Amino acid sequence: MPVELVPVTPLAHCAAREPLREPQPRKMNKLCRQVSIESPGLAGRDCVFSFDIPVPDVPANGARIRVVCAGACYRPRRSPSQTSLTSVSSTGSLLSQDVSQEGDLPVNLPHYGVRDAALFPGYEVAGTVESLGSEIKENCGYAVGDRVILYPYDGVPNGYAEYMVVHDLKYLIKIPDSMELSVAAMLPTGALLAMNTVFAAHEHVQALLAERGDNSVCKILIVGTGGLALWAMRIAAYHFSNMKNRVTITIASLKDDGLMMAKEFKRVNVVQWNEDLYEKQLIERTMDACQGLVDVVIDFGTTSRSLHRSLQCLGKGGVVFVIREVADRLLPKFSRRAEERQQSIKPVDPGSLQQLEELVQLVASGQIEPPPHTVYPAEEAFDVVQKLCHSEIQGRAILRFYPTD
Amino acid sequence: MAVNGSKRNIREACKDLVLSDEQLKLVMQRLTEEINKGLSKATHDEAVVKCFTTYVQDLPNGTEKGKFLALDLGGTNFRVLLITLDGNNFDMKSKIYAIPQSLMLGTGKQLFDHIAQCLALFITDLGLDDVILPLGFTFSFPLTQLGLTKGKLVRWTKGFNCSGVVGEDVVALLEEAIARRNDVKIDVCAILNDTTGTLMSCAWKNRNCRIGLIVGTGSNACYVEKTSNVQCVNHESGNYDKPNMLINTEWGAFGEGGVLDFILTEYDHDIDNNSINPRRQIFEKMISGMYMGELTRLVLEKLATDGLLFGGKCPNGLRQRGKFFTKYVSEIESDAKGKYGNCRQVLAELGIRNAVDQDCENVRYVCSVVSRRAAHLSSAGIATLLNKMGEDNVTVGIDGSVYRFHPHFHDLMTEKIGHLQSHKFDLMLSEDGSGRGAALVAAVASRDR
Repeated sequence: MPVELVPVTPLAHCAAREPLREPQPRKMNKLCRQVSIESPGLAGRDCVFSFDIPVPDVPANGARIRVVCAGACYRPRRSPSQTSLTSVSSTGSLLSQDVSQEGDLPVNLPHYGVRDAALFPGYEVAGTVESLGSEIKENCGYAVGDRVILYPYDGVPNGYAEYMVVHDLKYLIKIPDSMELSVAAMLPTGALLAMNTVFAAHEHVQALLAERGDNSVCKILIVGTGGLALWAMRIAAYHFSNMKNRVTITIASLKDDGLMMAKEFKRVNVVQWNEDLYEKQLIERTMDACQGLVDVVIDFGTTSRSLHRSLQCLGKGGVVFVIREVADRLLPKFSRRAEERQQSIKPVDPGSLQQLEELVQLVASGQIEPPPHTVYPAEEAFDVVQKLCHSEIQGRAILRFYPTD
Repeated sequence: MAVNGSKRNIREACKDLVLSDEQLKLVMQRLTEEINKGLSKATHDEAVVKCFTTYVQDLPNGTEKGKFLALDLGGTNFRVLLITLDGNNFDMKSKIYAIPQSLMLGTGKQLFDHIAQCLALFITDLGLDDVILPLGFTFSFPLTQLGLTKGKLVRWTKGFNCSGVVGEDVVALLEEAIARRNDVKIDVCAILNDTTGTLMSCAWKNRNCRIGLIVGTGSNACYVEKTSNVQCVNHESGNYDKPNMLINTEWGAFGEGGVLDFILTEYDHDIDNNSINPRRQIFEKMISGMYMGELTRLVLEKLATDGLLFGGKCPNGLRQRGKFFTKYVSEIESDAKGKYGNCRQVLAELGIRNAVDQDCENVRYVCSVVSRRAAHLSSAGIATLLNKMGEDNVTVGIDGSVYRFHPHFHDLMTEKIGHLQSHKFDLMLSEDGSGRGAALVAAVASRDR
């Protein structure tokens, strides 16, 4: 029985506009549409908003971008209660600790798709340069019509608008003609975050293999088959390709759709984390698939249940990498337990501008293959978020603001 | 007073789920009748507890030696195992393979080709391509067994619905899939269900084991019957003249004729009506892990809607069918007395924040009522078999996720079986029954070849 949804009706476009008058054209901006995706709440209600906003003025030293494609990500809501709670240990608790009165979940219930990282926090825009600022010199390296993506710096707007401005051209990265903008739109958060996670894991793996000596094997578990995990799998396959016999990768799939996808990689094991199975069964099956405890977990799940599972699959001295947003929320609950088992929980931040530039080249050259994605009209953002919340979209979902590149 | 009133109301609301010993003994009486119907040739066809002949007449005796394969198909994952036996020594290698939802609902050929592919991968990885390996096939679905190596699927359960398999010999389907590959050499020596495997695995360790029980995704039991009482034997498939025969009761179907209606609740009817197989597997739906979580959710939803839980506001998470997992029941009941850490974690996952202690206590009570009923009905079944066998010092080998992971199930069963019958017995977790047991059946079958 499906949950009843109460869709948010987008504001109607203003039917009657004042005619433009000659004396005021510089003060009367045209309107354009903005779609905002907030942290998904219950059944995705009240998390997708559509507004008409003025087309922003071009900054003198920046540019205005006409947005063509945007990755379906949500903007994390700044919760006033960021303070960590004191945990009290309790014997007999399978989930290791009591947290009295307050859960450790996001302010709103995380949906299956959020647990799976099919929908994750971020900002992903690909489009064309529509205007350059008045102070921009001709030799700046950019021209009107260039296809670009935007590195998600601190000042990005809260939603995806048809037009947006960037105050510093350094945050624009040109996209080669061979790459579709819908693929490019996946890079700024999903691929970049996955890449930075793999980089962090890579450093740890190298240190581990050096310490253990020749013929040793390092085991990596990637949790989830949402967009982040799919990128991580591909990026890991690329980065560990020169250690192919010494690194094993296992995907803990939360959906059976991911199984066939993950099988694309011959060297990847797959274990299904069916939510309806007992935790101990899942651990047993993961141990079987990984042939014992693993050394590194890349966990894009967002719940303490997922992190708890990851820690149980992790050997002594192991490291689990989690998204910064998740780490900030769950570390108070898990840090003592991890310490007892000499395990580390490391938050991973979004990657750097330089990493994003490198990523563009790797994907454009075909060295890293993007995960499957589906393009939807931006008008369908609400429906797209519903599907993502229930992990019904294979790979990534991309919103398109214009019919063609 | 409000708290006490609330507690009393919760208990009153749950009273239909609490079974008295009188009710349980009536269950036992009716199960005995159904078992006798199933064993008798004259009434077998009309019986709902089919008591299928397994054609397994020997238990392990410690002389088994060699390498044996097992294939364990009983759910959304299946396992392939290689077991090396040498007297009392035992070595095992195994691998788990997933069955995607698309194959669970696809064609039988697709399913068996997938299984054969995984078998071949496993054997090739072990470098045993050229060795003839006896295989025991644990097939945990209702089966009409016509011989040790011949079994026709009666119907699919546990969410499976592959086409072209019902009514077919699943050993032939497997053998055909293996033959289509023409790479590995496998000799299918036996087909059995997980209860038979559970009994065999336990019997290898404990020679007193005579009953196998599964309480997991599904529920079923098998036991050692005198061959003279087994009238439904297909003698065309071989001579079955030894004194004992394992009987696969298929007791999950108990109640299909309405003989359990006197204890069915509105929640049981809801579960049945919304199941993949309405009016089937009634006993199983009251016991097994496939349904326990949902049964609990239905009770909680009603209590919340009736204003007895969560301040009368039923959260959306509690309204969604299939989202209260059976493991939640075990996790909630694993909380120490007066502690609600697991309970709050589960409730948070359902969208219920800041539950007060009394709500947590009430949720735990509901979980305990549902799981206790399951344990007591399982106990009634075992007591029935113990009475029928009429022996002392019988060990019951048990497997299945509910038995393994619920914190109180073993103790609840031990106590209740003692109340319901007077023979001495023991309950023993059967380690790796569905895998090792199948290999042991193959080993015992090979012993006699």
